[in-house]
Amino acid sequence: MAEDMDKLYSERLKRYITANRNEKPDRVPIRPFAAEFTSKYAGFTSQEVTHDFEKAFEAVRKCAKDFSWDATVVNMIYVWSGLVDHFGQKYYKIPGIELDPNVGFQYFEPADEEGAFMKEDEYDELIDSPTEFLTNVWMPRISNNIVAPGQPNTYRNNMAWLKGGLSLMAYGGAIGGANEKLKSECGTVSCISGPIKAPFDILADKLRGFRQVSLDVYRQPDKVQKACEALMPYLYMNAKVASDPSKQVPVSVWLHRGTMFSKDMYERFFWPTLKEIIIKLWKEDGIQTIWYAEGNWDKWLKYTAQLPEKSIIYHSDKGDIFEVHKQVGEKFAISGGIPNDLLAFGTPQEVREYCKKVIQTVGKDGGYLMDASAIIQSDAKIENMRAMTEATLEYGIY
Amino acid sequence: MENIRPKAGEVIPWEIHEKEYEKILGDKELLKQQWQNIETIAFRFIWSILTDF
Amino acid sequence: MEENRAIYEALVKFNEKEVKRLVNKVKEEGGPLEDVMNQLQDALIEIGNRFEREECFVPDLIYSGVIMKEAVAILDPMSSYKSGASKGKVVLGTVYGDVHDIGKDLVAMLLANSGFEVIDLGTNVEPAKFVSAIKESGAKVVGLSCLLTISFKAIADTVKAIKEAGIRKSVSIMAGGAPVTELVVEKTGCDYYGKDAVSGVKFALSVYEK
Repeated sequence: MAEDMDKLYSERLKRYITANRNEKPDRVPIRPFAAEFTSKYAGFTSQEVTHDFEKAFEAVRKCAKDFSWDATVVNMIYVWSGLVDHFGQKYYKIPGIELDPNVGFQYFEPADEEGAFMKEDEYDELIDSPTEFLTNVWMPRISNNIVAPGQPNTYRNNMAWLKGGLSLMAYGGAIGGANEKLKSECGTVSCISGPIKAPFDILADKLRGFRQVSLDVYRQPDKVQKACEALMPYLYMNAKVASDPSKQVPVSVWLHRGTMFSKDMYERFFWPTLKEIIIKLWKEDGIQTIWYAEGNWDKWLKYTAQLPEKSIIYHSDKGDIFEVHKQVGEKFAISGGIPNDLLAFGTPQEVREYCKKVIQTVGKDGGYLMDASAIIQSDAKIENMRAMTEATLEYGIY
Repeated sequence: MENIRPKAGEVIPWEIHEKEYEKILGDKELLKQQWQNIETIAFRFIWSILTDF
Repeated sequence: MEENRAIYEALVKFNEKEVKRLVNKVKEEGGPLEDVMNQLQDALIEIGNRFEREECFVPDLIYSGVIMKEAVAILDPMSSYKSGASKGKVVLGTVYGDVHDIGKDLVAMLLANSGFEVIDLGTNVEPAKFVSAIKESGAKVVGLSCLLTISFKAIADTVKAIKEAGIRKSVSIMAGGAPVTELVVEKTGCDYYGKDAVSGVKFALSVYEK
């Protein structure tokens, strides 16, 4: 039995790697990014899977087994709210606390300068020493417990550092075990390793906030650009140290705000530093990146096309996956593109037809991985997820 | 306040810490290696709060 | 006459300092404040039109809204900006289970700048709260916002609650936010897909102009 599972895993790993490298495997791999869908299917509340990571891993294993997933994320509900509880981050709304127990966790961004975790006049400090800025200035603002240097120390501050560190070790260790179980119990590949955020995105999301950055790009554009450049090496290293040492599993970039800005701003603030991270990972370290294009990134396809061949796997969300295939399909593997509204409201027959169409066009020469457009939450119907698997097994064989 | 300016991958660089020993009688490389292993994890802690948590 | 369009020109170029300088100048000279307001409003309309043509983007809408607010504060520090007679009332909120507010706030700002009275219910709004706000205000338009695909159900639940309260015919429902599509609007029983903030304002205008 264990041997069978080993064989299954090896086949799937090969299928996954081959498709990622834009080559033709034996069959289109099924590689869903599934979050709250897994908890719905396994019968857990969102609170349970957010607060108890073992339940989250278990839910993924149940789906991986029942839907024959070749590769998947070991836990797409990536924020373990236990760590948030210990370290004291203020910016999450957690199911079972501020949110209904059946709704996924959400990031809550400060609406104005007063609430911003980094102030408009702090760019120089960030640029001068990013890690110290995060530790000394940013963390005291985002955590209920952390005290800034120079302020009277507290017991809670000491304990938050201790418990925060221990929490990350505990979670990291558990992920290692969960990857092993996903392999030995389901024969499924854990499909991503380190995370990348575009420097401009992290500035807009977690540091200044989108509304504040929208003003900064006009009021102090040089500082915004310098901040992105200063963050770049750190975000590169952050992805690299968490990546797969065997270089088989890609890292992923969770693209966010890049489509909301003009061409000039994309060219100046967003693209250069992100491009450099991805190219460094590929050329220096041999690590591929899943380009998770949340929203519609079609208008920036000509920029993405500048990346080295095979350096990314282009994940299409609300963009036109057929157009993506036309423009960059020669260079990169493509994943996703099965609309979430179809998975939520369509019939299994409609899902099958759509999957078939994507496989037979985007996937006709290999280099395609089956997945929904956006991360799959509890709105997806179980019978439609089943149809996605069946269609891939039926039409996806080369 | 102390200004360390750690580079990517470290939080208190070995080059700074090395000078804090009065003297090293044994294997310096061993000390360095152990120091840097945990440096990477600490770096990852700080930055993963920013990017993941 | 040339000077009369200077504020408009400065705002459509997102020249914050120049807008403030010019508005201060008009105020000091006791010039026609109404003309200043008209220019500012015209500029916001123009920026909205450029947004529709994809010549302007969300940050431009946010920034021009902030400049507008600053200009109004110079003119009349005592009162918040009102553009004369209300064009009508619009109830807005992010649906239950979803706490995202950037899109909703942007629509609220554009509606207010276009002369609507906005009843903003905030985020994570239960269906019953939408129903009572519609009843109390008599608004003919309600906007449901969301950022998550799990919110499709909350949109459907809200529409259902509005139906069950017997007020469905008196109110037009638009839905918007990143995951919303025509199909979502159709299946949840809404009337209009607000593909972006500007189209939401246009829909509200079309309902009240009927």
